[in-house]
Amino acid sequence: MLHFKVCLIGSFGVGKTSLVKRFVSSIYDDRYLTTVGVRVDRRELHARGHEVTLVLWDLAGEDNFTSLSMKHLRGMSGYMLVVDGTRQDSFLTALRLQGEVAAAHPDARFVLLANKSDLREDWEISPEDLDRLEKQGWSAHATSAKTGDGVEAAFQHLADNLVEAAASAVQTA
Amino acid sequence: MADRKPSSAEEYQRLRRILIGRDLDELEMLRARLDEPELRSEETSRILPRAVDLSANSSTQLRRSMQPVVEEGLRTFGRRDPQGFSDVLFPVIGPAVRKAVASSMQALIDGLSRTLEQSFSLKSVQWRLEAIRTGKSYGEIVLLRSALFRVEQAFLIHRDTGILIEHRTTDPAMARDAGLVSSMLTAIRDFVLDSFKVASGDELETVQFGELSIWIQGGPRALLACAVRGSAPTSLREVMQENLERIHFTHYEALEQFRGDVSRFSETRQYLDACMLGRAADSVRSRKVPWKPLLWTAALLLAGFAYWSWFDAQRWNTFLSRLSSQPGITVTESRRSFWGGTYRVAGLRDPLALEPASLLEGTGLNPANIVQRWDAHLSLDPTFAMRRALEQLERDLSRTVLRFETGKYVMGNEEDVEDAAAEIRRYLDLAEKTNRVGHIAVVGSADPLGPTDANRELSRRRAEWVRQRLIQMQVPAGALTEEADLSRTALRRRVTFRAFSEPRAGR
Ligand SMILES: Nc1nc2c(ncn2[C@@H]2O[C@H](COP(=O)(O)OP(=O)(O)OP(=O)(O)O)[C@@H](O)[C@H]2O)c(=O)[nH]1
Ligand SMILES: [Mg+2]
Repeated sequence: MLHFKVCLIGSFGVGKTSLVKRFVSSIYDDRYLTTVGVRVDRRELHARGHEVTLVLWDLAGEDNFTSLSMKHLRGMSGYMLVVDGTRQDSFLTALRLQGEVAAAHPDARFVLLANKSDLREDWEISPEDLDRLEKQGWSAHATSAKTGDGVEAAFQHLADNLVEAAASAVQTA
Repeated sequence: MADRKPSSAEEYQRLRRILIGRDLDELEMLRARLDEPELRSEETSRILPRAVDLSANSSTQLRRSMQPVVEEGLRTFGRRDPQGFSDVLFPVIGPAVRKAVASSMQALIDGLSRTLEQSFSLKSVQWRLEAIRTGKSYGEIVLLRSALFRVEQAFLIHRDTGILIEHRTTDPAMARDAGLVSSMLTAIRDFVLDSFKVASGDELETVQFGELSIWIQGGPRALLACAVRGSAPTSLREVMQENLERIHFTHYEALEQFRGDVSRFSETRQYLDACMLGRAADSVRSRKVPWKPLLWTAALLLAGFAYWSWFDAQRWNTFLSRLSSQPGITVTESRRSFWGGTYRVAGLRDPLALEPASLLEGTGLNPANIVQRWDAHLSLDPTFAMRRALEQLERDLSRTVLRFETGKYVMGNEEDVEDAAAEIRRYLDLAEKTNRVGHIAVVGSADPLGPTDANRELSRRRAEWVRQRLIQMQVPAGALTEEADLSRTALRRRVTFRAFSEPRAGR
């Protein structure tokens, strides 16, 4: 039984809470209730032949990390950088946050989620932006918490990654 | 220079080689060994432990020389890696501090033991046995057992990730959300530590939700949290701390290298179980409202009241029906208080009617608790008309006077006696009709002249003569009694009558 702490990071209103709800209980709600502090949820799944529990820390959306939310990241195995595809600013924020987080947690695996893919026509991020990131070795997924598109796959991808990382860490240790 | 004899120096060298050539090689080797640092270190390392041993045994010199080095080393370690340093000290410092605190606590506990020694009960015997069995002091057992509390859940939480490593609970239904609880606890703890600018090293120790509190004990790599119902004694914290230290001691590596695999920690269960103290949940919960006994008491009270109320109404009604069956009494209003015991009755009453209080006999009602208001009225009831007539006759009779001459006890003119006889017969007649028995006292008296004895005799004879005359005039002898009235006011030469009646016996 493997337990991983995974944080959801990103600007406010990008859909972090909605993604967790979609993934954990297949619920979607159009109302926007901003998260205060942190909400923890969990789901079990199989990854690379292991039973895995993802403990999901849904953090309040922030454009700059405070010392507290930095503390919330402590001990995480991986994280999801969430971007609202219809907001260019949330994309830039994500890139900046990624710099800070990667510096403090070099071993943590992460995926980038470009959310609200159901609103494709309003998108401000181009597919080329995502391609460019993938070329840098990032794993980027277009998701929609509303329709559920791509959500399961994104979490599964991260879970697989985490199991691999854990296995290699045990071998080197 | 080539063909000349070898110089003396060369000769000397050759001679030396011939004489001590082997030693010379060794000397060369020794010099190399002294000059070569690698080689020297290697050799020194071989003899150093033994040298230190010897030195430590024979003198304190080495200790004194080493001290500053070691001190400085520790200081550097502490400065450079405070976490690592405290990690190293954690399992050591805990017991040391506790030992110091324990000795001062001992005094307190001993005092407690003495006080408790007096109170002898089955429970205290059990606790004493437990104290002997476990090697703890009696007071400590009392602290743990007497308080009303129960540890319902114990969480072992990885400090950095907040991931639940191991969990024990009294109620399997609670196990599902334990993982979330542990994460939230970690988040809350972070929040508190961050938001309230606590001094470093201070900890969030308890979180309170009404009856339920969560005790948190922090260690370098893991937290131990206990969900406690009721109020636990502080000794619970010691138990938690001890077990958390044991967990760190036995699982330090696993905790440090934790990568999410919780299956390596199943052996920590025994330590969590050791924290699951307190009484069974039932006895803790029973501190809440004891509904069952309360309901029973209420039901009994209600039944008691219902019976009392019925009983009280019963005797009150008896009294009321006695009243209303009474001639000359009409009840217009009656009331009994809700709780019973006090009453009110009002109505009309003929003055000749029975005194209502006399009807209370045998009912068990206390006259003092009855407020009565009776308005007087003349009843049209025939018995009352006759009673009134009877009373009128009594008054008339009392005014009838038969006069005698001085010294005489026989009347010359018997007309007055005949009038009186007729009146008396009417009176007795009427009394009989109203169910009563009439009596006539024939009272003789004399004037104060002459000797008293003679006067008494005269009075008696006058009454006797009148009585005889009345009997002859058809007055029943049984209704007549004689009296001699010797009082000063009655000193006349005469005979008077006193009529009275009483209810017929066996009515
Ligand atoms: N159309 C569409 N709307 C979405 C999607 N995901 C989230 N939303 C909406 O976006 C709003 C914000 O969603 P949240 O999940 O609360 O965002 P958040 O990142 O948790 O916000 P903070 O907690 O404030 O940081 C809500 O009104 C959601 O309904 C999506 O995939 N498509
Ligand atoms: Mg949110």
